Amino acid sequence: MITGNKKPSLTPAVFHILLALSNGELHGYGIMKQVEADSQGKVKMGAGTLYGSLKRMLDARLVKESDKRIDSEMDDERRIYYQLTPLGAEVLANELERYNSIVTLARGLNLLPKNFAYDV
Amino acid sequence: MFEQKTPRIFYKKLVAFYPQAFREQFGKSMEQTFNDLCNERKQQAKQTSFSFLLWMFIETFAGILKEHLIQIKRGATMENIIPNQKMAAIIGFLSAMPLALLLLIEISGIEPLHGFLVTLTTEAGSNPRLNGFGKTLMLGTLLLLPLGFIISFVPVVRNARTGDGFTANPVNLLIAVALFIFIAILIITFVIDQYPCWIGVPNCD
Repeated sequence: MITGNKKPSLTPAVFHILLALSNGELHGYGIMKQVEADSQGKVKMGAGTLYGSLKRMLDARLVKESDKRIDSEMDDERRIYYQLTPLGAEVLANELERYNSIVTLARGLNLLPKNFAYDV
Repeated sequence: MFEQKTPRIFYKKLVAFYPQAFREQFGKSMEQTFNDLCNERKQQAKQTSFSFLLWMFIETFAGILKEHLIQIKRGATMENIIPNQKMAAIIGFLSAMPLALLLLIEISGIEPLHGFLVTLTTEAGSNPRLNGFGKTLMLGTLLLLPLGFIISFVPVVRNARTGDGFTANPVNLLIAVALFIFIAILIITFVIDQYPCWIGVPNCD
């Protein structure tokens, strides 16, 4: 199981799902769209990757299922929503901290490109 | 351009290939998400492109393989194939029987079985060699041995992992050890028999 203390590096899929859920609960399709938006269209996640990652994240208690409900902006089908757990939020914060320290190091070594692929 | 219903039906069938536990937990959500993506495409481009469908199906297929591999890693496949430990022991025991019977007939020379077996499995001539059927039979019976060993040994390992110890399944352990000894004897006999050929002794076969 992933714990906050061990600070393991996350797979890109898990990282993007955690990031997508950091603003609130989302259903599967909503997560896909949020990941696409967060990465400015550069990361497109399929259903196989999404639900495979969600299964492992549920097992590791990084996310939890909310009650099924209807998304009023879509159709009248009831959907399962997913939300971050406190552990998930902690793991995401640790990962962002790790990224931040790498960027700081790269900046110190003058390795950062003038133009990022992502606008930061 | 594709009829909207057809890909959804195929996708539903594809999702059915996921391991049962995964399918029960996420199957419906996956179909729903696929439908959402198709609807989005329908609204935007008014058609579902072949490249999109191909990507979705390949990506999901890769996911299916991954989930099955994870299950195999956890030993869950053996659990499904062999529902209980007694069955594993029986299958392990039976898998050794064909070769054991062949060896028994060959060594003890029980007639008319021995004569019949020789006629069936060897080529005619002064220096009889195994024919095609004989080679297949020998290979098949030899391959059954390690298979039987694995099948009977898996429950022993599983019990040991869960903390019950190696002797929790004495019958399985006994059969696994017997098969292991059987395999070891065959390998040692083969090495002793063939060693002179490997070191270049003339007229060796």
